[in-house]
Amino acid sequence: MSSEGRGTAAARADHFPDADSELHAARLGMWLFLATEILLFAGLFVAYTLYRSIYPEGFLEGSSHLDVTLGAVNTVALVTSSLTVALGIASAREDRGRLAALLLVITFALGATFLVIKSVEYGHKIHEGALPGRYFRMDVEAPGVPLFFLLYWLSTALHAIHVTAGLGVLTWMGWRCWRQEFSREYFVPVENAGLYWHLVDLVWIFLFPLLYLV
Amino acid sequence: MKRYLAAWIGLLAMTALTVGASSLPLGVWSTPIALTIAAVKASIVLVAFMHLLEHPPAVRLVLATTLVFVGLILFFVQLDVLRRSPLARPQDPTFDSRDVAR
Repeated sequence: MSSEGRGTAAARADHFPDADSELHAARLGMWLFLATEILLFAGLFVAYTLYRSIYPEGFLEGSSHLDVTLGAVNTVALVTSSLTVALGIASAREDRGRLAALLLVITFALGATFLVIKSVEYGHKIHEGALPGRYFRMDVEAPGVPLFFLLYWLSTALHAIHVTAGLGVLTWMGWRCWRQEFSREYFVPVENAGLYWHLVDLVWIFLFPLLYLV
Repeated sequence: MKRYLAAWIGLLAMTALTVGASSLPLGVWSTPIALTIAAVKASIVLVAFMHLLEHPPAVRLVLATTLVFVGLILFFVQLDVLRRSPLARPQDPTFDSRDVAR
């Protein structure tokens, strides 16, 4: 553990007995935040499970209206962005700030691609009338299809908001990487940004089969 | 770096697998299989990219606790729904309202 370097800034917080504890605390703190994010999305997953068990045909029919190809491309985009952000953090830890910044820019581009494809999908759905509540105007057979789309809109929108926030964080960290602010000894901010981005990927890994591949 | 690339290839393979499996007539098994593949993908991300096993053990405790609570809410909400009368579950062909009275 101590061979990893402090991770945290030099001589910053003296309420920690040693550098290890400081790194420990920083990591645990970030993971605790990620746990709260998991619980946030869990609420929507519970709603999904509940209503899918009540309206299985409705969910099957609703899901058939979603474009699996676009969803799969988005999955590949996010998965690849996880790779690039992990490589970026590794570069930052090896004192290669410029390379790290470049990798974070690629991560950003992949995340932005995800959002673009998402908005294309949203456009299609709005055009088809797959809107929540009284605005729903698709011609469907089974009951429960509007409910499926409500959950689709809620979970993907919440996820997209997280992706957008992640893009902001990546930009900020990319800028700091470019200015060579990270090193073998100090890397926790960029590592935490990476952890957040991986969480965004994790949520999509579950959203994709549940929404698109019913 | 190798570990990251290997993880990425694994994730792409799993994605292809889950998309392929969705077009197979697996019946009632399609959802558990899709979720299992998703869980495998999540594990790859957690271990290879997020370094879950190299971070403090407390992190694993936090994650495990979180998953336990997610499991609890899923379990109890489903349990409640399955015990409801047929008027609240119009799509369930297996529910016999006489079972509630017994």
